[in-house]
Amino acid sequence: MQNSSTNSQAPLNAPLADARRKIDEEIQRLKVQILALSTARNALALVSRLPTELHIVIFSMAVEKSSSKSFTAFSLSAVSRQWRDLALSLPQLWASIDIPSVEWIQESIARSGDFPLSFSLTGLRDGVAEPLSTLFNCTHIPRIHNLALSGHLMNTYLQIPYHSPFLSVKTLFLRSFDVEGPLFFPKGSSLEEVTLRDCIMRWNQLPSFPHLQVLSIITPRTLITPKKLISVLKSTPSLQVLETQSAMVSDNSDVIHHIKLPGFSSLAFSKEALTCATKVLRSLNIDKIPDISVSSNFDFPNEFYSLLRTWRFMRAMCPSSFQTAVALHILAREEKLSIKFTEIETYTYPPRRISSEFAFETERMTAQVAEFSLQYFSLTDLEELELSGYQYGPDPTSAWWQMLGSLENLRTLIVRNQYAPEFVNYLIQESEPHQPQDDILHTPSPLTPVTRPRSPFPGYISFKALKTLIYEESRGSREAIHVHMNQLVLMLNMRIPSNLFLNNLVVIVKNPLNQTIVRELTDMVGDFQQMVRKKASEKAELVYPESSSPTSDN
Amino acid sequence: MAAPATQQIKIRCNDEKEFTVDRDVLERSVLIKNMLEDVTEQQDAPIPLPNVSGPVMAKVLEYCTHHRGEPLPSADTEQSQDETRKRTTDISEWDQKFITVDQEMLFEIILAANYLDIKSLLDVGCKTVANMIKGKTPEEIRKLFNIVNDFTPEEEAQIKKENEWAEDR
Repeated sequence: MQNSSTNSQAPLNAPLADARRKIDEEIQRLKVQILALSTARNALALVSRLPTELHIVIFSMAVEKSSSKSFTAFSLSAVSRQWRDLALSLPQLWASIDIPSVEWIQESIARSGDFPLSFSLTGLRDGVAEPLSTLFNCTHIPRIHNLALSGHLMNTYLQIPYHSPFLSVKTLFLRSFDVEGPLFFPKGSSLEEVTLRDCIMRWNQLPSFPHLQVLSIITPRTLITPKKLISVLKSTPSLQVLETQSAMVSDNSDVIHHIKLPGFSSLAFSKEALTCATKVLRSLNIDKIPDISVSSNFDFPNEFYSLLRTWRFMRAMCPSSFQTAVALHILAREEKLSIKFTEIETYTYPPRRISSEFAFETERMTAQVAEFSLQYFSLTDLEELELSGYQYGPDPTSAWWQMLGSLENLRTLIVRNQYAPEFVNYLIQESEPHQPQDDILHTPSPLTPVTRPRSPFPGYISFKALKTLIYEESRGSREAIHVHMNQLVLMLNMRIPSNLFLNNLVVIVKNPLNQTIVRELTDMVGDFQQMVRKKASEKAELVYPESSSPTSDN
Repeated sequence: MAAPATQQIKIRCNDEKEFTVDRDVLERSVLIKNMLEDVTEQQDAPIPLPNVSGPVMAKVLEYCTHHRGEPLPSADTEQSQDETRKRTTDISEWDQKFITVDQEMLFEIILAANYLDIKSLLDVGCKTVANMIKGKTPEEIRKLFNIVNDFTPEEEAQIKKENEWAEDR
């Protein structure tokens, strides 16, 4: 019975299977047709009107301009068949590799033909060394012209797993690497530009880098000795640009080398690298550096200035240090070169920010920059000055407050943080020279213009052009701020009858001022605004004069 | 013998639209420049430009007028490194505003610049399209240019695999 049933099913199923097969074939035919129609439709897209040679230009530009070159190359190859065929036929699209995937690296190398390769692999971890192994073992090393490798972990230095020298690399960028000489700096190297960031540098002697033009060593967490830097400079006859921002340690290498670098044109130093770098620079047989950039938040030691003096320079980039700016200005002046500063900052003393262009008019030229002091200069064109920060020198203030008072064109003065009460204190001291500073700070009852004797300021405190004073005091107790405000009232009261025509005063404090102070301040200036700091993170709230009233007197 | 810079030249587009333009403006086009140099006698008949329509030519002339007097890129410097670097830099503000047009006009301008051989305009057009593409996913590019997916299942599988690698970025 079962057999007969099976036998009877076979002929029944055969036509069904046949019908299914026919439908499947039809579906397949239609799918092929749909794809063909899709391709035909794509040919009618506006972009398809552009000839192939323009597609090639656009594809190359898109990859070149992209910050993620590999991804853009992939995208171009995954749009349509026509685009994929074209993208896969263009080796230049695949030669810049920035995806740290083994498969991607292998595929891209295969697609890139004979094109010079550029690797930019970031976020590499020590434990995941496959991309590096793929890269360093590949037979295409001679094609690698640009190599940028960045480690992922801040405190881990990546070890290079294999030793195949990079002979053809022209630009090299390494971050968080344990850099061994023979691999990256082989004999016969083609290197033109090298940046080492946060790297350990293990080398004693390096071969010559005949083509190296730019060397940048930025390793704040590791140490480099003058001896090591000299060993590099000795092997780089074509060096043009040297930048070091490293924690350099001193050593006993006092021997002066006479390294000749005829094309040397640009020098950039940080404070951290400087102490020992001066030792290194003495070894350079250079009489002229056209471009000097001193990047530092701090002032440089005097030794550096005297060293600078021995070189002639054509242009100095804007330094961030006021003292450096002044020192460079003196040197430039002596060399009869023009120098222009637009903005100078310093985290030491004196002015934190000078935001308008100015020219130094030195009254006295001093060779001892160590003895440099602000009273030697008058910043004649200075219009705006901001004094900020929480730290200042041991006792520099007296001299430079005097200097500030003599700034004839200073229109805006901003005093913040510790500079705010210091500013008032100094003015009070000048008007009442015998009152100790501590007493002023802790005077319980506010001083008023009526009860205090009016004594004229010394002549050099004039602020003749001062129109705007922005006073911000966010630290200290409410009482202390009120005392300072009273002192400010006193100071303004005394100044207004003479030659101060302040017409804009902004007081920013963490608590509202009492009404008496506000009234007095309002009476004295044309435009008074009080800002109350709610929290450091919040925007200051304007409470006077537009909206709410100040707090009542206690 | 070079004609004076102020000479007026007549051109005729494929829609019969005619323009009379200063010679130095028209000479931004290397094609027209060569044509004018080949003509020894002064001709009154307009130069036919069968591949460019009136509206597109008006746009091209706006560009040429704005950039008149600027040095033309020479064949020698074209391949230099500086030139390559320049090609990748951003588009100037005026050019960017000029090229902010619908896609149809954008491609027409590129085609016209290619035909008329105005390298700087061609460059601006290609850069604009490149900027539209860079950083986008394949689907976003398809949507941008009204293209449909025409890959076979096998190609699709390969692309999916590549996408997984690419996501490793």
